[in-house]
Amino acid sequence: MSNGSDFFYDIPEEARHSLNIPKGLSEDEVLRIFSEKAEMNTTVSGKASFLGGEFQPRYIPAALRHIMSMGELLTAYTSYQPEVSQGMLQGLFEYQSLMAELTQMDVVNASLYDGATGLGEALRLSSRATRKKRFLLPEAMCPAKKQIAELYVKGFDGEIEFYGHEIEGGGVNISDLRNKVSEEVAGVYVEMPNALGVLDEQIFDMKEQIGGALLLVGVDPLSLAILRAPGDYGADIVIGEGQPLGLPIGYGGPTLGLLGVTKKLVRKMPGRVVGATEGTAGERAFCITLQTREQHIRREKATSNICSNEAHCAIVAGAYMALQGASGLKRLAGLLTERAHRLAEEMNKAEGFKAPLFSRPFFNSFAVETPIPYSRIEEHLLKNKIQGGQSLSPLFQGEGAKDNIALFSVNETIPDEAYTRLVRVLHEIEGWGG
Amino acid sequence: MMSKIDESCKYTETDEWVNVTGNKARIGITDYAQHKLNDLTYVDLPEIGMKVSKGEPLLVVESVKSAADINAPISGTVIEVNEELEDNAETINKDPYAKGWIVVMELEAPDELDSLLDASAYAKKIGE
Amino acid sequence: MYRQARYDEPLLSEISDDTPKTRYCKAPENPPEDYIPASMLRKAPPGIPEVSEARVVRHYTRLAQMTWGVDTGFYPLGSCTMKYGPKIIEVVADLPGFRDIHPLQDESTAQGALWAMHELQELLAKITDMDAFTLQPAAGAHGEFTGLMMIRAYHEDRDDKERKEVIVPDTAHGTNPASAAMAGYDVVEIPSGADGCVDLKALEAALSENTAALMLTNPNTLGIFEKDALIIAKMVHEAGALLYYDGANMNAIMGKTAPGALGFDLVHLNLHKTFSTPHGGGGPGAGPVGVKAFLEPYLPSPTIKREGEVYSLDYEHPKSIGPVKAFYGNFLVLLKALVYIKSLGGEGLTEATERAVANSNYLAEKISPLLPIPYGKVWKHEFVASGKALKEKGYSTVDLAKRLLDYGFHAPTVYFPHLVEEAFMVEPTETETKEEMDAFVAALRTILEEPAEKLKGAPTNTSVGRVDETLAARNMAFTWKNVNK
Repeated sequence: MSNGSDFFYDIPEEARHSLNIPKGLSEDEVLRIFSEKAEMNTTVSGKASFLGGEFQPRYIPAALRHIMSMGELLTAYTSYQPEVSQGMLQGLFEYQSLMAELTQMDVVNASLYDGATGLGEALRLSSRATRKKRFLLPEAMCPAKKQIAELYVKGFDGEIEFYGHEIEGGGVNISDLRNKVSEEVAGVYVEMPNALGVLDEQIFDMKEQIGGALLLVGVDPLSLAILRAPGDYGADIVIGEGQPLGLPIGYGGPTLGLLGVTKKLVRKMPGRVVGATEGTAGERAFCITLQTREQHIRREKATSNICSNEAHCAIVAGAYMALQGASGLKRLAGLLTERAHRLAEEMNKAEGFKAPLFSRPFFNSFAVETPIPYSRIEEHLLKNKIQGGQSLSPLFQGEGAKDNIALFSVNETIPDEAYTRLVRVLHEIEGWGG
Repeated sequence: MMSKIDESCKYTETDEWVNVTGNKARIGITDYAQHKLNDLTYVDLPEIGMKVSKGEPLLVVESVKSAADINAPISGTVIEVNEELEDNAETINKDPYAKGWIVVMELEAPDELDSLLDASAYAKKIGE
Repeated sequence: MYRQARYDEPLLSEISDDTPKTRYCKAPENPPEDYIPASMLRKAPPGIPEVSEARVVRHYTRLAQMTWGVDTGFYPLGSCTMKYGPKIIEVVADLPGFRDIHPLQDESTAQGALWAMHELQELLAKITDMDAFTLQPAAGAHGEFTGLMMIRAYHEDRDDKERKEVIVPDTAHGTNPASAAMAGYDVVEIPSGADGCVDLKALEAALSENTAALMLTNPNTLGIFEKDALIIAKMVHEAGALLYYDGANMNAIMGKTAPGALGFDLVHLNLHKTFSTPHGGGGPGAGPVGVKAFLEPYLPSPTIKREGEVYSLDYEHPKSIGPVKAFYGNFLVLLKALVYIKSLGGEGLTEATERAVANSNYLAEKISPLLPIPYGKVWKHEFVASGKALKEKGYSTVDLAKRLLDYGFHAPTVYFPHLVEEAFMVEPTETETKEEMDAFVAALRTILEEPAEKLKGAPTNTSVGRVDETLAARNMAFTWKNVNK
């Protein structure tokens, strides 16, 4: 509508600002330009790429592509009018239910931003629940995640202390952890698998060793298709990055923050949650519930400031789990386990390489020690059109710093040919390295 | 709408009632308050043994879209809480002065009671 | 009248069929027990149902049909800017070169992605009149937290550590005080003046050497431009505090004014509002934060740097508050916003604002005889009417909102801001036509002539009747384990 009136007369002259940016492009121009830019990026799916860890390339079933592009779900807002949003709400309720099955937690919320901010929120939640401010986190952990955790506890003057890992096994250094546990500790955070790729059996009876502190477990949800669920070994809070459940990798976003808690913690939990209820005729219905925890009602007393979350990613992850079923998820998790172990075995044969570096079991990723600085190997691999694993040198800084450790990950999209090529190139390295 | 007022209680300006026996005071929210808050869904009960001064936050009552802080009408120690409310917050809506009591406190400064309103003053305050 | 799809669609856990399942990857040759000790494996598979692909697709198709989106129809939800986003943004975000790249891959193999982020940083800076941007925050509230932690770092860096208070007007979005509390600040709420704008006396009384910042959205949540914007900026700065712009309402001012020109020091944008990226039923969003040059050292790390034609991730920010999210933000959402900005260009964005504001004023003029609008004479992108008088007819604003659903319109935002009794907050956006808005007004007029029972019994044409939210809060049923068949 434009009826020629000036609706902007109340903006002072000295505050006027016009847009000094180029003219708009036609749709065909836009597609051409962006296609050219897209071509400049080397995709990792279906290629020789061994990056992974928390973010993994995934084969996305065609049916899932279809579901993720459904316009109604994509263009809805938060379900403030539940009567016209039952589909969205049921989809989120099913995501919560499926994740609760995987993690064996009582309640999973309708999503947080990502795994890293999920850790921040989990620390805040632990503090609210225990009225304590001290936390124990693994020293061997993604550095950015450490920084995010520090930022989130800064708001309430929380304190983070780090515990070490076993030199050989790669798991939790239990004696170090025990020394640091005290009555003052609100929460102990462990990862399974951890940043070194390791699955640590000691975590199964961690709960008994940490006194009154809450046990916070970081997981790769896909691994839970085969691994014991944290709810079964006493986790109070489960967090993790949900991207491995069928989301495009998208240069690291959008992401999906998983948060699961015990029933006891539900009223202190951050983020939206969908609950089952009834419509006027007693029919089954869903709505966002326990809203009194949220910012629009509680303002500065809210459990978190989160409003927009990653709802659509949760819908997609739910649909992925539904398409795969327990059997499909188990098949995939089993396939990744097998491929990772076979690759480690082959890499270990190359001169000067140790794979896996740590003795404890692993899932789809494992640490490798290389005979020369890993950056040189990575460069050499790139020349051969192979994207190597992720350097772990940021985890081994300070005294005894190491620059020759990397985390190699497998996924189902890597062609068989790529494994043999990687191993062949690694065998060549002994000749030129040293 | 006429709100019920229990003659045997004392009241605060902020719609809590206090019923004193000896040095113990049973505390809840008034019929007027429960109407205003609508269908209650949850009461965040304090821990037994909690010490609180008059006017400090004691507990929270919640409906679907609101949460109301209930401040301590008097100073003292929480010695009993109505556990029945944990699963049935609506009891407060149904019977605010009897089954819907929330906590019992041991009085610390009995003379504080003088500052509370009596039933007729409270009735006047809420305009009835 | 409208009729929404209504299926008694079972939960996935209630569906299982004998149809062979589609297999999406090869099977391993050996079971996991061959590689991982059995003691670490789960004894029973997770309770994830086995449903055929056909049935799963039908399930989600039905769920989609029972969901109202901008693709379905008018969505005048105030403060949410539910504009139609051109579909080209989805096509671009689905190009494999953007979709299938890993955040840890070598920068030389992701130049197109880095170009996109750099381009967006620059364009957002121009639109907001800021000097530098971070694209990391995942949503508006996340941007607020990021901004406030930067404000904290700035004051602490200057050894100005007594500033423990953040001021917010009583009309502010709930995220403002919640974010301030999360950043460790005490929240000081100031009442609005009689005209719904910031009351300068109240602000003056609240400002002190303890003030870290004032958070403001302009136009405010009543859709009114804060007439004293420049004076407010002066007052805040003279008190040694910073001025934060909540960009939720940016759609009202593009090409007319900008946070920088209004004296703000930092700003977050909601790309899922102003820049048309779809909201996905709650997210993902993106909440980039822009700052004036003096705050640039505190920006989250990394930012995107350009040297000649080469783009790289810049981690050299010694005073940075550190990262606030994994990697670089919700990249595909950022990309969609960039496509939108490139498609519209400077003129197009200005026109978008002009149309959004003209639509809002048109609708306000049509609605005010039906429901009074207590604050404002001219509005920006939205306005807030009051349903206070409806009580006399025996129903409330909620009933009106529910009845609108029956007529095929999403309801406006109700009961916010609290300043307006029985608030009814309407934001049409620029992508709606006069015909659509006229139809909305006609429906409103018809409804207001209906007997109270019609409204109190609404909605009847939706997938379910009015949902019992009290029962939900009491039930605490969050998974299908807590649901009876």
